[in-house]
Amino acid sequence: MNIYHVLKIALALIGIGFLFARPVSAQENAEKRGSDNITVVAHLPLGEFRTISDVEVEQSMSRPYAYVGRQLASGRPPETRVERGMDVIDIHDPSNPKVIHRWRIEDPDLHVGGGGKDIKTFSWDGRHYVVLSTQFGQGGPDGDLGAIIFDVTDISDTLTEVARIQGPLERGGFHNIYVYKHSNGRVLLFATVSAPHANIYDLGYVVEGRVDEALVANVPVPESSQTRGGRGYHDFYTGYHADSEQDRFYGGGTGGYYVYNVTDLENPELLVSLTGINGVRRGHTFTPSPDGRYVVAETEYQYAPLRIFDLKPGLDGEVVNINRPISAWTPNWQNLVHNHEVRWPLVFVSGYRDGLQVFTLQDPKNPKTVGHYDTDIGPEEGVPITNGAWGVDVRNSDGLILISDMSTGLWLFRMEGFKGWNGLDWGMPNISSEQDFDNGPAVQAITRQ
Amino acid sequence: MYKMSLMVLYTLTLAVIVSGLTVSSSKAQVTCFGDPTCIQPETGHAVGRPGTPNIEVVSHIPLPGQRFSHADIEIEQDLDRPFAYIAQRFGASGFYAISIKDERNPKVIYRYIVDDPDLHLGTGCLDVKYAKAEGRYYLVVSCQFGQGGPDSDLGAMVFDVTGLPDASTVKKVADIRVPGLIGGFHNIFTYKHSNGRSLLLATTQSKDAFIYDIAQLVAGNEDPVSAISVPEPSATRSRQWHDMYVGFLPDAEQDRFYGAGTGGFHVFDMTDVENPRLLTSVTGVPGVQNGHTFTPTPDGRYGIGMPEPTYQHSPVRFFDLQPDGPGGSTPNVVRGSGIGAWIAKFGGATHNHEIRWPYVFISAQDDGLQIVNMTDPTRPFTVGYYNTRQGPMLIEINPFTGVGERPTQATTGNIYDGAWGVDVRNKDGLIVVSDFNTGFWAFRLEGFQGWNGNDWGMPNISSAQFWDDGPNLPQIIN
Repeated sequence: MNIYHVLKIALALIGIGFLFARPVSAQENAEKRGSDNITVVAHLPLGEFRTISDVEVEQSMSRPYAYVGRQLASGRPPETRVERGMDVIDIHDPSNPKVIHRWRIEDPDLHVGGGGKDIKTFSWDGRHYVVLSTQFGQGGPDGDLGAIIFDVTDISDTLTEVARIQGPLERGGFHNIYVYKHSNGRVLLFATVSAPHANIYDLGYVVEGRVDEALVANVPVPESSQTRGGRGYHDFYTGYHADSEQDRFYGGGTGGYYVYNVTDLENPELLVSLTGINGVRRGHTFTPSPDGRYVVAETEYQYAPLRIFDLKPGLDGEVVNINRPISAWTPNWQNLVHNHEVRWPLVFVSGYRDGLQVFTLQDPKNPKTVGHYDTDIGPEEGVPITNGAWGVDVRNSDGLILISDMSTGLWLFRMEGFKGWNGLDWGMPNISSEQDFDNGPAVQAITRQ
Repeated sequence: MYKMSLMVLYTLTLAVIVSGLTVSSSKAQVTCFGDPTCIQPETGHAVGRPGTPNIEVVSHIPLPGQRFSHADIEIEQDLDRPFAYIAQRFGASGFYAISIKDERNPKVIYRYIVDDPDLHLGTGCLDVKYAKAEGRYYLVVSCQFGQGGPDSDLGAMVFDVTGLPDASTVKKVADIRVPGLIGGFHNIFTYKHSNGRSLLLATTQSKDAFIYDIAQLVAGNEDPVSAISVPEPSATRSRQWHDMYVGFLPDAEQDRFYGAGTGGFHVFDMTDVENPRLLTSVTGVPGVQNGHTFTPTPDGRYGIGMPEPTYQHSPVRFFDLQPDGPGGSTPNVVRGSGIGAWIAKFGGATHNHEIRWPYVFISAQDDGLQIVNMTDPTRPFTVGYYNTRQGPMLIEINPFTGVGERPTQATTGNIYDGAWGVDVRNKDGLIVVSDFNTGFWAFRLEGFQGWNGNDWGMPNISSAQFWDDGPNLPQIIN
């Protein structure tokens, strides 16, 4: 080996050195749809432009099914086929998902308005169910239909409707729903209604044929100077707070955001409100960290970031209202994002035009993007800004990430290094939107499965 | 030889790996260590590069006073009267008159401080505008003093500044007091109306913006000649207008008032001063509960607006004030998020703006002077900037205590640091900025040597007034 060979090798090594020296924050180029750490497991188109709403995945690996709401969103072409209802997708083989049921509302041409909006699963007395929330407009049937409950225990064979929550108290339908296994053992459905409160239904009663008795409580939107001119919730989350042994409701609605102690369902206690926030007149989505200290808050309009709040001053009784976030995050200030799922320290976001976005709250004052994938690269001109990724869900057992895109359908992803989630692995209670329907949240919070 | 070659190879390999790791690490940590191109996280810009190369700092003079005490700025438009004015709030409240005869060596030639400054409470003096009436030049300074001290009923002071640069000739000629509306005037605007009157418009602690005839004011008549009310007053707000602009619209031969306040942004026809008429409102804008600043393009077609407060993460929104309505009509209420938006940085928020179509000169608080091109209002873009702030980016300091409360990169609230006000001298394109802390700045933008709207196919209408001839001059628009 002479000196020239040595120099050749050295030059090659210098090149390799520069590759390693690439900044970790290097931006993706416009032709690239996602970050290197996001893998597309599968993509399943489901229907026409702007006909897809929320998504839910069953958490048990033995029940590999996902559910997607079907609706007619505004801004769709007039010739769009009317497909209001729900699609059931088999993900036994995640790389080859298959639609096994396409449930549609009867008399589709008579119904008006959106249709299937939100979708959640639950178990009761050994059987498995899906709740599909609906919003049909006046001038057609079912303007007072809030939700339809299906028995999906034998979903590979049959899909059976078992109940409808419908009546004067449900007029206008349910825009959003949330299913929660309460520490009292009951499985509850929280539902937005056209009223200054959220309704709480006992789903056990519903599936046992006692729908008329199922409305067991409600959570009010507090009245204040911030909430004049009609009050209501848009979305919510309920989670067990392990330290205080409380069931806590986190609602986004008129005026901002509210946290209630709903351990005693009949007597919800307001713990802290978040109103008078610059740029926030109405809360949309509101999700806490597993320990209930931090919350991710959305208000739905173009240019609005997600805001991160520290609830500690409110929960400690230092203040009764919080109006200043500690930080904010957006993938693109010119757009807006929609829903999110917190798996501390990660937050999985369905970011409308910005597709799947994942950011970390490890330092809540400085949230940082850690992954992304654009699920809709279609035209933007003339298309509402609220197009693209509507819903997101995460299967805790294996870290499978699902996105429902309003126009392109269902997407399944995996993120490098994220092979599942249990809060205990991160020094947090094992609390997320996943419910332990067998054991309840107090056990779930401390269980490493 | 072989052993030596191997040694060289091993040494180089080690050096490459170490250098690679070092570079990677330094990028990840954003520690500049003297790298002239590295963006400092504390300041938001590289060492020695607070602005773009097309912005020249003509001059800068710090001004005395408490931190965060320098408020709005005004420059006289006549090159024969090379004076700029900056209002001062807090403590020694009043204003500065600055000579820019030698623009590279500006000098404070006069400073006015209210009597008994230590007794005064509240914010103090905020806005400053000049006007000409009946052959004399006047400076109007708006103030907001709090109850419990003197002058809480003082809205503005009027000074005769005709004799500048001889400071001894400056004389206060009127105090505008509003005993029934304690709290003074937050913002003012002076306007040469098409009827020939020189007018002062002022926001009050009420639903009304008052309109004064400046000639009458200096003659001793303090009563407003008219008022414009926000269309739908709020029961929970005292001051319902925040800021305003008035401009002549040649096509319609109208004097139009563009107000930012309760509900958003509102346009009135005030050709008949005593009978203003609401034309259009921009309301129901997501993220905009109330308007802060609202400025139209010279042809009145587009308006740009900021919400009040100018909260972090809020962009400047661009609105089409004449969107197509049913049957080709223009709706009298414009809703939605606007047709375009611009923001200097995600965590920022801007304050005031001056439109010299197609440019918008913005005093962008934390982001200093920013200049935006809005040739396509749906896609505004930055053409130049200069950071006038000294100190960490996005630090939040309590203006009353001077103590930094959140020295982080995410203050998340209102931003009250950096550039407060901006003005442009049309004759030669001189740009002046007042910074909360760093005082007076004068800039030039490469290629911008003055402005006349006609050169851009627009009416020659901006905040610069034609005090002698009025706004309804013949327009030469190609």
